[in-house]
Amino acid sequence: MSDIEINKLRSYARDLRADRSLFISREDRPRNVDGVEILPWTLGINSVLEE
Amino acid sequence: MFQRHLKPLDNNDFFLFGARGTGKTWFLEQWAAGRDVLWVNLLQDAEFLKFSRRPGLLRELLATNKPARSLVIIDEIQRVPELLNEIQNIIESPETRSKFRFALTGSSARKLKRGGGNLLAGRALLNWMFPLTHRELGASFSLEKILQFGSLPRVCTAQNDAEREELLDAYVQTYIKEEIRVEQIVRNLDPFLRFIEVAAQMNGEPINYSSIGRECRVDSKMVERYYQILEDTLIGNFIEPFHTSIRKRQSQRSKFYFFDIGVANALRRQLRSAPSPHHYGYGRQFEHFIILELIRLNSYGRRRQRYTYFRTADGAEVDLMVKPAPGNSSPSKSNLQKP
Repeated sequence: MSDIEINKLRSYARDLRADRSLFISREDRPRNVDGVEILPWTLGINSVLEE
Repeated sequence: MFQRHLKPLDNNDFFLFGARGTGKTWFLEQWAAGRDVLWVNLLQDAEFLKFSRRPGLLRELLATNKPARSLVIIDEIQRVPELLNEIQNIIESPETRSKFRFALTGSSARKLKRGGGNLLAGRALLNWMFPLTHRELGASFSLEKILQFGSLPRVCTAQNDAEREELLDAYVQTYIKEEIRVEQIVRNLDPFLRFIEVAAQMNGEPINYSSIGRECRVDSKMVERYYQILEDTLIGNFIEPFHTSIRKRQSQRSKFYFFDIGVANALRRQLRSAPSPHHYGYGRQFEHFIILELIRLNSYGRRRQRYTYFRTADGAEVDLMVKPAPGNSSPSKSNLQKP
């Protein structure tokens, strides 16, 4: 997914007034794209379930 | 074997629903170990015939209660829904109210809904069993294997991939034979067989009933009915589109996710090709995996989160919108997107 697409989705999240948006990846390590943190899926699942 | 994460609440009667082969019976065997149990397995023809002819037999057995037993497990209760009336009488009768605890399994909600099954008027708690989660698999977990073969317990413990393929092919045949043909859920099986293959190919896509109907040569109302059959027989879940207006939500297309990736792959005849991380299909299967994990863990952890998805007019999509259970926090939404 490109940075443009990520930013587009972030703006949708704002429009939807989501408390937070979460990007997850199949990779093992977190990474940061243009200030957006992309979590490994195991952490992503834990984070969702803690909502 | 694997330690299951399902934890029925103590001191309550309960249902345990789950598709065939998810490990309900095995779970109850472990859970009930060391207790005095009256076990009725309605999958066995002799038991099925006995109780379907005379549901009152259950009350008679428990009235004498020799040898003394306090736990009653009935496997595949949907095969004789009339037994639920007997159980309700036992639960409500002052003489027997506190003597017995019931655990009832079911692999289809269809007959219970349509056969007037009363689900014990809310007196029994509902629990759900699913294929294994990554947490239950622990060290045995392999993402690549799950994306190809899913995580039904028997499939996960198979010796090799050839055995996994055979088990999943057999699973699909058993589902069609047992649930659909024997229970006479559909009169004409051929269009349903065409439908279920198309539905597996459309897994996780917004459902277009008319276009699927054209492909299967049935009308769109029949496609809706077929999807309902899949949901009732616990073969998958709908995820509705997100919208604050219920009316608008109903006018948009839901998605349908099969309960197990391996079963979906078997239905669309893709078991023999391992998913490649560089292929478009890999991303779809990964999305399927994440959504199934959340559905399962949400259920086991009694989180009561609600899941929807969101798609914009220009096709951008948030795979999952998460609404926490009321009382957990402010009415909020998280969204989940896979890069």
